[in-house]
Amino acid sequence: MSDAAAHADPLEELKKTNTGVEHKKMAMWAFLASDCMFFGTLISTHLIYRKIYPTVVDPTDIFSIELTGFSSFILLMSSFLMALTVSSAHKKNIKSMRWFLFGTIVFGLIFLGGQVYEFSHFVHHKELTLSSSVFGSTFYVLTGTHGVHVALGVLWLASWLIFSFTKKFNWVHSLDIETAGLYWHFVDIVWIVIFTAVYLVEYL
Amino acid sequence: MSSEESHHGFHFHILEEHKKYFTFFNVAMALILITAVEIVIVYIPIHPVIVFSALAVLSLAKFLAVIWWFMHLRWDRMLCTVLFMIGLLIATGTVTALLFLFETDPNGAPVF
Repeated sequence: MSDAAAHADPLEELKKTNTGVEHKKMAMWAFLASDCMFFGTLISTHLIYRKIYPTVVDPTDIFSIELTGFSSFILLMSSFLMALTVSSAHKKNIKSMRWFLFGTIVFGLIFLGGQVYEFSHFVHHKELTLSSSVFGSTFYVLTGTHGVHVALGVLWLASWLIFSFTKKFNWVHSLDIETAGLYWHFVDIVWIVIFTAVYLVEYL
Repeated sequence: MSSEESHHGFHFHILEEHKKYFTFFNVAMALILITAVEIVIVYIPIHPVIVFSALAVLSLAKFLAVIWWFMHLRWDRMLCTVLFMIGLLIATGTVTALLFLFETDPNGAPVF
């Protein structure tokens, strides 16, 4: 291989599209735009039922703002590590990329653990179930859907971490890492909205 | 492209990525600080409208910071921003319209 070929950015070839944006990245942005609408309907459903049945349950007796604040911190840090993962992939530094990716996965798992603990606590100690009240139904559907997104993200990132150890991995795959990163950051921004609209607003 | 030009191009690319590291670190610290402020202000005994407005602004700032820097919209083509904003605007419009459609009466009974 010539020096020019060795140092050339493999992603430049993928950018030669009609839009100038790689097809995979474009598809991910389109998917995320549609997922915005999906979460928009779930959040509005929760807020509407919260508004028309205001006295059914007092969420401040149920929520633990310390745990939710900690979960928010964890997810924000995982987003930071994901940004560093993508940056390392662009620098073709595979060792850093793997460590940052591993950190992102660990933080994602901690977030999921926090959510499992939260749900378990609500069901067993606060008697808030999916069918106990309208609040329970909309709360679990919204936060549960977000949790499923996080779980899928963790699986996706874990599969890339494992794949990075195989001989098939090359730097063209840094675009796939970047695409997975976009999804992961999206999960983070959805939580930013949920944290404020579902949790913090209840304390006013 | 000659070997030397290509090498310089990659070296420049690496330097750009190093700069991004510090940007990402600063953004992450700002996000943590904003989250801490959000948690604290809900306990401050001031008018709920002021707290609500502050929460809305702070969460919007966090949202924009993540999409602008972490999601690379700052460095990507404008088309990505436009595409995402279309979905975001439709979602925001839907939420706003639904919240206004399902108004409650003063007694708390649902009005459809």
